[in-house]
Amino acid sequence: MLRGDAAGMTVVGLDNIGKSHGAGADGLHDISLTLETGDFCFITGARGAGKTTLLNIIALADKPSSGTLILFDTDALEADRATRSALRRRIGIVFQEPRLLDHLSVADNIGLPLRIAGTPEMEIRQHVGELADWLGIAHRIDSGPQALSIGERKRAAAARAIVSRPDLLIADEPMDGVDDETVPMLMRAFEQLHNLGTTVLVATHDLAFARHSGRPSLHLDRGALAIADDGAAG
Amino acid sequence: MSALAAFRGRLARALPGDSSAPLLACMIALLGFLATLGGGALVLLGDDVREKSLSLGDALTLQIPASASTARIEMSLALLRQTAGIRSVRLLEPAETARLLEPWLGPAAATDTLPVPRLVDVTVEPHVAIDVAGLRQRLASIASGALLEDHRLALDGFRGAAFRAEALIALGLAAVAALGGALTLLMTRTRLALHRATFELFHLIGAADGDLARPIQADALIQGLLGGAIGAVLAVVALTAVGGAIAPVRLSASGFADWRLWGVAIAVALVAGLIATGGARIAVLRQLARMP
Repeated sequence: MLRGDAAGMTVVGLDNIGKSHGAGADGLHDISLTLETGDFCFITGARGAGKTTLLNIIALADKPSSGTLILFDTDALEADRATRSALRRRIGIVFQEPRLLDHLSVADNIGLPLRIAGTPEMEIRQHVGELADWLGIAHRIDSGPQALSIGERKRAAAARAIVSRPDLLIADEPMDGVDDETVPMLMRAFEQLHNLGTTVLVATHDLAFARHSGRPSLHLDRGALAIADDGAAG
Repeated sequence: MSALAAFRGRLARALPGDSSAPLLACMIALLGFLATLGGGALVLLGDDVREKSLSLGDALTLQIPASASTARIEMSLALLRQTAGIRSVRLLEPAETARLLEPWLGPAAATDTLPVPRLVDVTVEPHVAIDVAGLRQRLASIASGALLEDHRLALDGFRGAAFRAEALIALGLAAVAALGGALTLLMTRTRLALHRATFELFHLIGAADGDLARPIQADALIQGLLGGAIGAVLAVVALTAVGGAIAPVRLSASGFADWRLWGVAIAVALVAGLIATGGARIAVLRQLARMP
């Protein structure tokens, strides 16, 4: 269990979260975890260990079979639909697959969370332009996602997750399959967001990468939290 | 931002286009056409009932055989005038009778050489009971073969038939409306299924159900209004063009100048828009309710 500033808000609070995928399939077993404002941690584990399931539950993309989920001091499982939508708007998600929409330009894909939040068009363009420039995809901003390389797609997906400066950033294997240029770019973006006060949770199967980051990490093994490594910084 | 864009909501621009929209508009146009025909038929049937009620609601006709003498005719008229509840009695001139027979016998018929009975137009006081059977007996005793027709009985039968026809048409209209709603529901579900990944993504990054439903409802409203209006206008044209030939409903509408037909057409277009909107909203909210 990670603890940040005692006075901080509980950004993520999992209490005995379980998820059953049916007989014979691995799910999650009694996961308890607390992330407070400003935490930055990794969840490591082999493929199939349950990292994506856990992140989906935190991102309100899936419901647990048991347990309690607190997001921003709100009981997310008991909240009504409008409240859950509002909670989702405070979360940025980098999905394992970029999930960019082919019918939109890269700029429109990145600006989607701002559009959903009702941000004025001029502001959307400005934020998207700055972020695309920072992540090295400004030259692709008017293209369709099909024109992007895998690394550029990952960067565009990351830009979409952070463009609204969320209170919680969840990234599922963001470095998976990307080129050497993209990895430091994404980490720099996550660090920058963290410095602005966002709580960051990154799932990766790459233990060495998590250790190298110097951030605390939790290890998931067949649906259970097995190891808590507080890392060098936290 | 244009008014249409504002109406469709802020997420409209980010949603994929709907290739099935023209198909939905065409199907609603077909239903709008049927609904307007039904609505027009209701209006015209109502006209017919009103007209018949006015002309026959207080009328009896007495036929006196051609062989009856003038004295017997006068006696019959006197009997009618003395009967309580009868407001007026008028013996039709042979020329008037000939004009009434013209549609059957033609203008060249020599009605003066035919044994055409004398007709008496009798008007009764409304809502006053008259012993028609007794009156028939007394008239027959004056002029053998005299026949007193009570049109009010026929009118009751006509009203009953018209009411049943109106009920059937109303049932048909309800079925058309339900079909329109089901059709929109199905088409919207198909659209949502085709773009499921997009809607899921919107949902996951925080789009509220109402915000997601709004552009789809707006699209359905536009298709409903457009389809309904096209179908309704075509139906008014069809009613006007072939109206006079449709039996047994005697269409007395004055074609394009009849504001009531246009009223029906406008109502059909508006209702089509509303039903399409409702169907789309239900489909979207149901689909979203399946997402966590």
